[in-house]
Amino acid sequence: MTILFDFMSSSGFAAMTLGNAIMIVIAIVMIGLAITKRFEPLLLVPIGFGAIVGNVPSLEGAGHGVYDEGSVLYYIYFGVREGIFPPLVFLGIGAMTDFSAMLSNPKLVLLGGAAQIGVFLTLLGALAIGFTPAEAGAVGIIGGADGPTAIFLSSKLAPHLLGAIAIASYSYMALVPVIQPPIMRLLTTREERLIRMQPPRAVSQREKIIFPIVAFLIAAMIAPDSIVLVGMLFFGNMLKESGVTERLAETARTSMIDIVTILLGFSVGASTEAQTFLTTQSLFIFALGALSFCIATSGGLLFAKFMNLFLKEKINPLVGAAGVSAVPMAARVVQTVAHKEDPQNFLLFHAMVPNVAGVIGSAVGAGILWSVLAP
Amino acid sequence: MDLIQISIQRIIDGQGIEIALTGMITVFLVLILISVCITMLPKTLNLLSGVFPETPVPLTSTPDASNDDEAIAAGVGYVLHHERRSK
Repeated sequence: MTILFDFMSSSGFAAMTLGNAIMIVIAIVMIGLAITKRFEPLLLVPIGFGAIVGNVPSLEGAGHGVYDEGSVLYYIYFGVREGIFPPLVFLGIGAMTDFSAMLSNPKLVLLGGAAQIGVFLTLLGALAIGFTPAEAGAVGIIGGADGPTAIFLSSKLAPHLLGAIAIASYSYMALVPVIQPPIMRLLTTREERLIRMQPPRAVSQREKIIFPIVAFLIAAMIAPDSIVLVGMLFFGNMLKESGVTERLAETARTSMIDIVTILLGFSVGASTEAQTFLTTQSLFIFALGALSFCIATSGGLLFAKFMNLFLKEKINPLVGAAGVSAVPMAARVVQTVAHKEDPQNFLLFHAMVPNVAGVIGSAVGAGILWSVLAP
Repeated sequence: MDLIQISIQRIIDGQGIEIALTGMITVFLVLILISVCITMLPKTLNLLSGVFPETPVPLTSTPDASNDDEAIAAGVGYVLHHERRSK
């Protein structure tokens, strides 16, 4: 009987805390939203299940969690902790991105830059609340609306906040269709929403091949700490556009990115142990994350209206909202809002320009924050 | 860490304004330069096309368009048939 009682006292039931139980419920809700509402299912299902795994308590010293050196989860989490998985995700994103829209209408690239105001104003807010500069930088990058970038930067600047930042980033990315439309309607007039934009020009294959090299050199020479993310993004794009490495591009945008997504999502979820996740800091991170999304959306919209003061061919300001890096969801939201005003107004192609520019902008922004704030 | 009070002094102590300005200026600089290069790229390639003409993509790599047209027509026909039946 002693053996039985000893075994029972080493079970998860004996060690379960209220925090663990709450986290397991939150994880189940995330999985439910992913399956029923299709909120970023490719991320929220692995993260949710990882959170369930990470919150099943074990005896002290049993060594099963992501923070227990030598455990399987520890070694899987290595790719997150050391910033390996996010650049691989960027490789896959580059291999599936078509920069034709950007090449045909380069002035819209600036809207992607304007949206990055969400990152830096949120950094200021985080500092004001009491986060350290490194923590504030990691929290601010949520405004870039780019999950891999947020995970990469927080693994470098504030690993203890990575779980909350990752879940905040992916949750708000999934909520883009809910967060953005009210802001878009608030900051634009009906007349502006009805603006039709000129059809894009044709782009040659040579331009598509040269662009990743040129764009990478510009970004890397100006902000060298963005080399990893920007380099992998444009390397993936080169694989796609070169025409001679289609096999590698196909692998990068399918099998490879799927494998990395599974491991990254699961291990990030497993890192959200109640003791590290259910804190006041996490609440503030979620609040600041929501604010950063709103500021980023507003920044892109308002900058488009500012550009229209100087342009003969007006930009539909709705397109500015796509400057957040949630590709392609933000561009689809722009199309949906424009379609409601005028079913014959097709803005999706134009909205993809600030959308992909936002990916570059957030990667460059992360590089700058890493170089300035790294301990 | 005191998370309850909002303090502008923390922003100043953390060099927040400088970091924010540096970040935004750098991001805009990168994207402006990329935008300028994209604008100049077609003109540069036009100048170089005399020396390095662009090789046309071989048509043999294109799938047979007639098979796609038949598949598309079949799909459209099915949808129309289905809609008429449901009316």
